[in-house]
Amino acid sequence: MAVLLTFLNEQPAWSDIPLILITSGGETTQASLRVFNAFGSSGNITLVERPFRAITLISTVQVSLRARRRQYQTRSLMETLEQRVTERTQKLEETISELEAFSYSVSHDLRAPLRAMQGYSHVLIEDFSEGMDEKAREYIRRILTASERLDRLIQDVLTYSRFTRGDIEVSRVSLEPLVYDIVQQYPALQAPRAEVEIRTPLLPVAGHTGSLTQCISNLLTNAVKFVSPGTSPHVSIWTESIDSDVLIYIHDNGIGIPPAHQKRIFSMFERGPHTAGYEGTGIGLAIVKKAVERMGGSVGVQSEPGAGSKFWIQLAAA
Amino acid sequence: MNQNHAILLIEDNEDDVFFMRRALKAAGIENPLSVARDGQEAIDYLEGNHPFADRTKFQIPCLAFLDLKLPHLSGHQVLEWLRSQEHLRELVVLVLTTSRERRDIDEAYRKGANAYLVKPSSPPELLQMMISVKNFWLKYNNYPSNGAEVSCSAADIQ
Repeated sequence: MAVLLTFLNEQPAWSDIPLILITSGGETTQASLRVFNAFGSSGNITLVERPFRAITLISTVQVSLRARRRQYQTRSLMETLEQRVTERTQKLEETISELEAFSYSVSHDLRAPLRAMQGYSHVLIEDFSEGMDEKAREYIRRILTASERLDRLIQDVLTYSRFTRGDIEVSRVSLEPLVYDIVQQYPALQAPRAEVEIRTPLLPVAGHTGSLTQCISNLLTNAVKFVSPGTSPHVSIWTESIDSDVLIYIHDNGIGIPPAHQKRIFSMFERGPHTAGYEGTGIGLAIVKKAVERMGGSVGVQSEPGAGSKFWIQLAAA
Repeated sequence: MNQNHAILLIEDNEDDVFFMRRALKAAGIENPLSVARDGQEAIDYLEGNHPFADRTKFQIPCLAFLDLKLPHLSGHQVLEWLRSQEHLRELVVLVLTTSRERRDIDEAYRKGANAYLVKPSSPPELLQMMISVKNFWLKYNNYPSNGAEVSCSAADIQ
């Protein structure tokens, strides 16, 4: 009986072998009670006591066989499902690696001719601009500007696609040195071009250094960029603790964003209204959103036209 | 600076070869520049196979710029081959590519690259980069005595 019990316990998930136990009739014997207790409620067991009519046994056997057939059906269903999951997973993996190959070839093959255009435009200006017609010089500059813009566009799309794949490992990030480094790196964030006020101490967050650097530098460079002509950019960055999270605020004195656009600007290629005169690809905030989400956080903005914008990133505290 | 020894540029893109020649010249790097147009050609050059058998014309370089995306044999494969060769194991190889991909950077260092540079988009930036290369690799850096057997650096030939 112990062997039988072990065997029953080791059945695969789909299997529940029906057992028909025929016992002698009359008083419930110690033996049948033992068997019944041993299998308990876990066994698929039917007790039939002698004497029984043939039809009782036949119907019991029929019920058991029917149950067993159903189990076989379940088994084959599970097998098909598993096979389907394997196939789909394989297909998905293929798609992902195709996408990776695509963005890889974008970064190499599409940028190569572009770099040539930029390069030769530079060479023309540097080596041949003397004696060149002013109009010709202007056209070359336009070629240069356009190719630089396309280059930025491609690089931004690539950055975005990098954040849509691959796993990001979240760990403790000290925000303060990270922000100081960013300000150090961009002359546009330093005096006299702008004033960036870092309200220390900045609380550490659970994030990913590379992704967070990308997000905060995108937000800071946006903050000093979108100001009305003649306004000197002033940006503050500070953190606040809320429950087990940290909110990073970046507040500017820029042109602001009307409420109707505040959600849309985080989508690919979307830019706020009245931004036509400002350089940009319309991808920066989409990168921020994607990167913040990959770190398990969220991002948003409070703003009114003419009254500046206050962007926030919410991440877990660390 | 020791300007007698060749610098090898392993690069298949003619435009990039042009921009590099121009930037090296503007940066005042006057070492003779040899160019290999693909991975196999780089190996043939370094092994002294035909048509690079004449070592007076095709010297063993003291420094190599290596593009990663090359026809026939990739830059990674060239690097792997280089590091398996007794006389080239210590050749200073600066990867110069368009790829910023993490896996390319990691693989290049794993295979023994000495530095990893991403091609700038504009000639002025490339010039700045080559001025830095000149100062670091051709002026201050010291080269091993075996392996490449030749030195690009002024620091070694006092």
